[in-house]
Amino acid sequence: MIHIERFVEGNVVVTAVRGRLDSSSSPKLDEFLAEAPAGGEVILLDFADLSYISSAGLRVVLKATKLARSSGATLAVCCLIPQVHEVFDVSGFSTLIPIHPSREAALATLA
Amino acid sequence: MPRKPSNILYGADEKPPLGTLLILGVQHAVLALLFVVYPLVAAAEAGLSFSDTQVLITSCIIFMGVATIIECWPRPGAGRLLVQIPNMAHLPLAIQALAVGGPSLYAGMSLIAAFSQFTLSRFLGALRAVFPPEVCGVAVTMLGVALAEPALRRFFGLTAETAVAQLDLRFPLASLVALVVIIGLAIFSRGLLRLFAVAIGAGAGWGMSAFLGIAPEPEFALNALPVIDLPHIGFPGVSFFSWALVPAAILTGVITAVDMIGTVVSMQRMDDADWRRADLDEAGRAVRANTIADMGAAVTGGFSSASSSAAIGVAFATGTTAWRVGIVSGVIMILAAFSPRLIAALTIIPPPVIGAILIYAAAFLIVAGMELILSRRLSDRRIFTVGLAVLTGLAVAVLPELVRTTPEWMQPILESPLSISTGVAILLNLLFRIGIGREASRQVTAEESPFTVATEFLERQGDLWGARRDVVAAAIPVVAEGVEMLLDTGVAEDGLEIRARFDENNFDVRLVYTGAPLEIPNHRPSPEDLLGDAQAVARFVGYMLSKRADRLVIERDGERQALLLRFEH
Repeated sequence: MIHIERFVEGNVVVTAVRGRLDSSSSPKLDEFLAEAPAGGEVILLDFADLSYISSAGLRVVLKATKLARSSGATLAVCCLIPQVHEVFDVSGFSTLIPIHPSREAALATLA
Repeated sequence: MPRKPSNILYGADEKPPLGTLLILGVQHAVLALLFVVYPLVAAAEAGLSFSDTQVLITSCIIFMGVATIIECWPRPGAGRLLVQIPNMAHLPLAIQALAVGGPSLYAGMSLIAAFSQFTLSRFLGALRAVFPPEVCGVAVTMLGVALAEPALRRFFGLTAETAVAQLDLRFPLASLVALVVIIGLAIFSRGLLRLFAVAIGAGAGWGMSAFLGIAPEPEFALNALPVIDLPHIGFPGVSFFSWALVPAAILTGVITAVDMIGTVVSMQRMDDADWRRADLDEAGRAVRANTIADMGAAVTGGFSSASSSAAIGVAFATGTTAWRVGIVSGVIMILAAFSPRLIAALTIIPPPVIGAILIYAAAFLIVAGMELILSRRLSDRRIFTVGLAVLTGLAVAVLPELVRTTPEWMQPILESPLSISTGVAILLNLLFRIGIGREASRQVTAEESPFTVATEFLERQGDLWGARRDVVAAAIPVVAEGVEMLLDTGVAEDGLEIRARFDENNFDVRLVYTGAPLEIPNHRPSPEDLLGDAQAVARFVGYMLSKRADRLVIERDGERQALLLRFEH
């Protein structure tokens, strides 16, 4: 249902999520993001292959954002498909979290 | 106001500049006048005298103009660019009636056909369930398929007597030149060149035909005909004495109405980037305008007319669907009735040129019909409705000998791929509706995946009901979110029930549960609420649902609560 990959590009830790992020799958991402990042670290959530996100998924993203901020790290997302982008807009997340149209654009800004 | 598609320069209600109006009006009028070949064929087959033939054509042209003007005018017409041409569906009726009882019998049969058209048009609005998009799509596709035979015959220079072994390559060559020029200009050019696309293509094809020596010579001296003369119309009287022809006349009226619906829906579709459903009231107004003109043509000895599918091709090629173009075109047609020499000159346009224009229109209509068919989710029932209807139309086109085995009075309707396909589509659509409820429901438990449940349930119902793909696709994540929230937060104490309902205008999904009613805030709560207690989460998600559905209503269902999520269709 959900596949998560993590890799490092420069100083950016990219977490690519594939599938649907709902109440049954979001604990897996929560676990992945639970470790507090080091200060100055940049976390990029690549949602190019995320087809659906529910409020449970948003909750995990919000928790990770708060955790990153509290450790002096930065969290951003990229590559939202229109349906997921709509959820970020309606929920107000697009004003809380930097959203980049592509991974390249995100790396160019964040690296 | 519908959103204009990007390929349309001037939409239905737009006012093109005067010069453009004239250019396009002339193009449409000239194309329409080329089809006086139909009444000419009817007159020749029935052995009509020269003066009766003149009356048949002149009255036809005048009422083509009148009908075009009324149909294009927003009220009482349809407010669409609908240009009339002599009605091909009337050909069998005209030949038989003129041969058996002369112009007075044809006048009587035309009146009956017009009356049957008029009667059908009165009920079109109420017949929405009979004409869902896939049935309209079959009609539009088959309009294109019906054009294929006359188009390809002219393209390859084939007559009924010509064997394929005798193919004369000059005909396809001239036709190809016209077709390539029209398509090239329609796709790659802008401005005046595009507006002139059909006229330039026709001119190129005519020039090539003349160069290759296949442009037909007039059968009579054009110079002998006056440039301007009072139109010759007559009052042949009205006779109904041939009862054997009455069923054919009624069916001809029905075929004409179906044909008209197809052209009106094609124009609606071409004009609206967000087209959702056929406006059958508008189609009914167009059909009624046509019947009034048909009655006028009938009592003045003229051949019937109907809106032209070829004109749809011209509208597409020129990117102009403005109704004002039709008004100009109608006026030009009426003026043309005052020039016998002009009309005679148009009858000698090389067949390959007409073939190219018809092929262009047929190609457009076939694809436009497919688009209509695929605009809705297709269940097995709908797949067979469309597939069998199209196959039936192809059967009579490919195996015309089948039609000849049927009673003579049935042949006019059975030999038309358009009417037989549409008829079969209407019947199968009504038949396959048996056993499909307008409402369906499903229980959901906390153990199930809300997204999977919503997807499977709504897609299945969407297929059965023929709902639009984009509406169902938009509803699935919203419903899944609602179900997930109600179950995860414990607001729904003991599972819930999803009830879906479809009535063509709305796709409604109710989430019915036992528990406390949801509170839907007017302003967006803080995202921090997602980390709060169940109530805070429910409030936050309730707000999101209210923004993502077209409408959210909190209802009561007896002792239970219901959350109505409405998606406009």
